[in-house]
Amino acid sequence: METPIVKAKKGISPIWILPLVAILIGCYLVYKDYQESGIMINVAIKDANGLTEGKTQIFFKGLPVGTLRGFSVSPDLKHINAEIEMLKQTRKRLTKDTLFWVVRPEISMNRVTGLDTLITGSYFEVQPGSSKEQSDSFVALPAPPPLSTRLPGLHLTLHTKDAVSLEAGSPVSFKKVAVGEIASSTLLQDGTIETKLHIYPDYMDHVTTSSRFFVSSGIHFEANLPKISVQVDPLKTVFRGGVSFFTPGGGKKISDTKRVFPLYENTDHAHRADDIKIKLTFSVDHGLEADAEIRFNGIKIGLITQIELESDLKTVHAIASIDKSMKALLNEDAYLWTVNARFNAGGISNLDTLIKGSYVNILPGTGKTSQTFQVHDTRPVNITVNTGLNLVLETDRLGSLGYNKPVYYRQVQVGHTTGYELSPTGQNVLIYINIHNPFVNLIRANTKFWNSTGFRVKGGLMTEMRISTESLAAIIGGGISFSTPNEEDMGNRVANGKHFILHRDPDDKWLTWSPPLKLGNFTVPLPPQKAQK
Amino acid sequence: MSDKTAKQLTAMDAGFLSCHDCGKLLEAGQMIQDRAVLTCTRCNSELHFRKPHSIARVWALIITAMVLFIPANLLPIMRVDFLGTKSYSTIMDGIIYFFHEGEYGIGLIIFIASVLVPLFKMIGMVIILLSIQFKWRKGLRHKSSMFRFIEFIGRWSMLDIFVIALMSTLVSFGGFTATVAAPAATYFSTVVVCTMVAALTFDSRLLWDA
Repeated sequence: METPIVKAKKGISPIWILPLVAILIGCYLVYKDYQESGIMINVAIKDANGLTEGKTQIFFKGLPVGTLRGFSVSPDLKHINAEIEMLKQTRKRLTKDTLFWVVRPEISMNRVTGLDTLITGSYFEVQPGSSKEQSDSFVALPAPPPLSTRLPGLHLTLHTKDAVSLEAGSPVSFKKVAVGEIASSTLLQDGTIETKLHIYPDYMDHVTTSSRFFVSSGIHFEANLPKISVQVDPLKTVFRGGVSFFTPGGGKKISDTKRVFPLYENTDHAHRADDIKIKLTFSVDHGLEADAEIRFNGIKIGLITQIELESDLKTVHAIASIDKSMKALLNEDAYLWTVNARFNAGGISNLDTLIKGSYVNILPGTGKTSQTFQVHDTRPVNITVNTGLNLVLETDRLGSLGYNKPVYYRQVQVGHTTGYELSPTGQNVLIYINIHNPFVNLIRANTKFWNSTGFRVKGGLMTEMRISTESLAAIIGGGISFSTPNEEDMGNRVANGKHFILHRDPDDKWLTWSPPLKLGNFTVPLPPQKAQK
Repeated sequence: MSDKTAKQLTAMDAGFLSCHDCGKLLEAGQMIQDRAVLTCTRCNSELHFRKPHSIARVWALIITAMVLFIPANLLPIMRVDFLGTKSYSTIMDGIIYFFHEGEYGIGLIIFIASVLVPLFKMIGMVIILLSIQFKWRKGLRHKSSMFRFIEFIGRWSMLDIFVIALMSTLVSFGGFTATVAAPAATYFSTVVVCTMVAALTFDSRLLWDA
């Protein structure tokens, strides 16, 4: 029996498509790998802490553009060569001035950077260069490079001699809004700290030639009794510090980027930047401290910025800064004196200085503008008041009279003493008084003045005894009273500077006078002002 | 030894064939004709003396597995995103990681399941195929027990893939951290599937036929 011929089926089994596909995939992978194979470059770094070969990546604007492949130590053992594979597309950008630096976590008092590196490990960052010349070996920067000055916006330079700690990346604020950032802060050879700022393009117009920059430390505490102010900058600034600025009017748009602005220590310094600096000379015991105010008519016009002992160790001088608008007060013969708290029988004066500290009062004079002044311990002999009527009373002794004592008419205060001095010959005391405005008409040529301090006992043991008193305030504090004779004897109105006699006691007759005198504002011509001592 | 492995009368020679599915033994006798399709009288499945085109199919599958085994090991099999940073790891990276961490047991299991077993399967199958093609009749018993082992161990190679599948579903916290399968996972599972199918396709009786 014949057995049939069994023939194998011809043709290739379709299963062979499988290895074919596998080989195609393999070929494709090889091709892709070749296509994507990067460019090997060398970057010299100081140390390889936190860097892992195969894992550490190179980022450009947060996008991975390369991977660290390996390390080798330089022959002189001074640095590490990091072998990096960069993406193929970066070829054109790997020029001589391309910058590499390692980003590591950094935690300092005022900021935390590179937090992500705590978990992911350090990484490289790259900033492409603009040079035409290509290169494949680089040296890593020790720190991130300053912001490129090619960025749109305004690039400014600030200089300061103060010790300020500013870090790149900290905000630049204008009205508490971040309008830029600090590009770099470096110490120059001469000790100046140079800070470079980058103002974002949107806010460029807020900076003019008159802008003033200052360090915003974050929390600003100012205890200026009775006002206590605490200013807190945005939290970001509190932690990181930063630079703020304000722009007084009158500045021009900045065209010259080489212009250097001063950087002030704080807001106050910045505000006082264009103040007038004056030099004050003191007697040794002045009771003043730096930051003491300088006041005019009770208004702060400036402050003492520093106090120093002169090299002869005898006099003290201070530098004060006075608001620009107060320039008119700074005359050659302006009188300055220190004001301290004072307690005496006449009352407590200048109580506020106990809390706020002593201050310097200024009484402007005439003459040319000056920048050096002597500061007196005592107030000026006479503070001329420009309104009302200024008179001079002559008496043999001062008694308990002094400054700012009331002048009464029928026990109503109508004026005050403005000063006193010994007459040039020393024979009597000159008391300067000012009669306030609606009462000027009460003073006539024959008006009698007497010292109304205390109480008077009149008469004798055998005769009638009379005790006359003035108001309680006058009894304790002292004061001056006056009376004007009845119509026919009163005399004419008087001019400024008229001298009267100040009697110790009133004549009984004077107390009975009661002429009708119209009250009102009369302008009295001022006599040529006396030069103060 | 040589006696036992010497060519003996086989069921095929005697015209008997057994059903692949239910194992019923049938006598083919004179029924073998061109293009005739024999079916089992019991389960109605197609009958063959030997699994058809077994050797060619196994060769194709094994070659496929060997080719794909290269990218499966060179390319990363898993991607771990941690806070925006992607880190890729290959199979070997994982094994080295466990050994570094002192987890020798886990490292060893992964090494055996993911590297040794596929390699063993592929090399073993190649040896078996070559011994059939070149009629190497030495150690047939060892070879057949090796084949049984290959058949049994095949599924365990999927361990790695299971781990990745579990990780990518369990470790998925958005931007914080996520685990994603990387290209090599596909190649690796293809390798495992190919070797398993190869083991199924292979008819061990061919060893003795040769």
